[in-house]
Amino acid sequence: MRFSAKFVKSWAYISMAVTVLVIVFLFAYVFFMGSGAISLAFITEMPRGAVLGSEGGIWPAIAGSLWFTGTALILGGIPALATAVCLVFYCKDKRIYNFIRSVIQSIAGIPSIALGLFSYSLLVRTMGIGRCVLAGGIALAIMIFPFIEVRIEKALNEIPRALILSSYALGISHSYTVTKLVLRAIRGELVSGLILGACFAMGATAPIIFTGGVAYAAPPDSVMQPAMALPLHLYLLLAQGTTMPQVYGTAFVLMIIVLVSNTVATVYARREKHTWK
Amino acid sequence: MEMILSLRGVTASYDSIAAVKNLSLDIPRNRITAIIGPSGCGKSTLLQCMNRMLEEEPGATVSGEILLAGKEIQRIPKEDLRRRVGLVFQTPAPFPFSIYKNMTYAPKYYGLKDGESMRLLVEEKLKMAGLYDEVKDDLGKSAYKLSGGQQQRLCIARALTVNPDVLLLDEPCSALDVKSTSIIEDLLPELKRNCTIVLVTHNIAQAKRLADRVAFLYNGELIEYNDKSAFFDTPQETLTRDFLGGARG
Repeated sequence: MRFSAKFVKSWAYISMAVTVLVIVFLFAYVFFMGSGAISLAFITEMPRGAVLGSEGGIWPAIAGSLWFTGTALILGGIPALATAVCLVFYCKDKRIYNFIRSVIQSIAGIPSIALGLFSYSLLVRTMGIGRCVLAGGIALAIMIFPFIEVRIEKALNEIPRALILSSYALGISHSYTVTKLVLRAIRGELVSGLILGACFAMGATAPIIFTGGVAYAAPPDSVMQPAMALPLHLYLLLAQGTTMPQVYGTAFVLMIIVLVSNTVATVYARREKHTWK
Repeated sequence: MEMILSLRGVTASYDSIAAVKNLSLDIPRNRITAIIGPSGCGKSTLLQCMNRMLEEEPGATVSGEILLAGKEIQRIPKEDLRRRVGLVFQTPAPFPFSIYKNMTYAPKYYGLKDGESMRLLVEEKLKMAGLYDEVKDDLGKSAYKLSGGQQQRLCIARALTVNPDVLLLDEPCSALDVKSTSIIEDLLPELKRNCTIVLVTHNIAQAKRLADRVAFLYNGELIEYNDKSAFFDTPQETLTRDFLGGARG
């Protein structure tokens, strides 16, 4: 083997090893530091203490994160699915296709804090809906929309055209083909795209700082109420600097939720994925 | 002899390049009509004109007149036409479901709900396609676990579930081994009792074995169309003789 080939191969292996080690160390460190703070009370109780969060638990932050994520998933996931289906099956004009693709790529490039600012100025201030889960959820939805759309569009494009034409050749309509054949065929990638999008939303802080995330609130009853969120709670605890076990505990819970969701998404997608013939 | 499909001056083009040129042809009911010719001569394009599948190809256009049982196909809703004129592609394309779900996919769309009727329909069509005995004990198995020949027969059976008047077969055996080809060839004469078959093939021997009438296409033009015996025994055109003799193709 030539020297350059050996160099590239070694470089690739070393890079891979460093990446894996850094990730494993990151998880292990947070899990090690945070596991001490974890208890049933930490998961199920409201935060308390002279410095908020120094005692009690993080239940409102867990519930709030689920509310923000669920709202974002509904508001971002459904349009992402519709856009992907529209681009792949209904958009015949290449110029319109390219325009929509450019818009999606542009959205993907918007900094998340700018999305938060947009939602704050339009929804919270101008439209006057106030800081609430809905305003934060919309900012998160815009953020995860391209993330989900790209994954679904890729899965749709991988379906063999012969399969779709075989359905049309039976006299089946385009809409029935999409709902009963295409979406079923990509359900693994669809569900995994939605879960990964949800993980992305759950870990984001910037879009909810101004729009719906607050330092202290009871778990919300509707999307029109503000809520706590795990990443924001983590940020606020860390800023106080006096509650490090709780910081790691919160990070531990957030990472466990994201890790489990990612694992479920990956396993499900792998199980359902078709090797197209 | 009653004609089920009549083509009058049909021209099909991809991005204004003609693949089928001003072609006229009558296809008799309950017969096997083979369309033969070298690769790229427009056989598959012609087939796709007959049930308007060519409209699904970007940049493709069709002109001329095609009549199904005397009615211009452009006046028949696309979905109705395709239900009456089924198409099976060259490469087997089973849906990523079980064998049973592949078979019930179209009947469900057309409103069949009764479980027992569905079961009987699946059994009948799988028997017609010569597949039932091989899969009857495991209809819940993924269609992808079938062999290539079984998959193609499943696709034929699936096309039969909507009771088409005409079945268009686009080189259905070209991706199959000899044994699977033989099974499908045995099945086609049985199928023509219930529906008309238009078979595109580049295999002259297959056309000889199966067809009642044979059309020869060359560069998008219909060179010769005749009863099988006349076509093979006394071809009228030089191009046909050259093709059958192996000098062209």
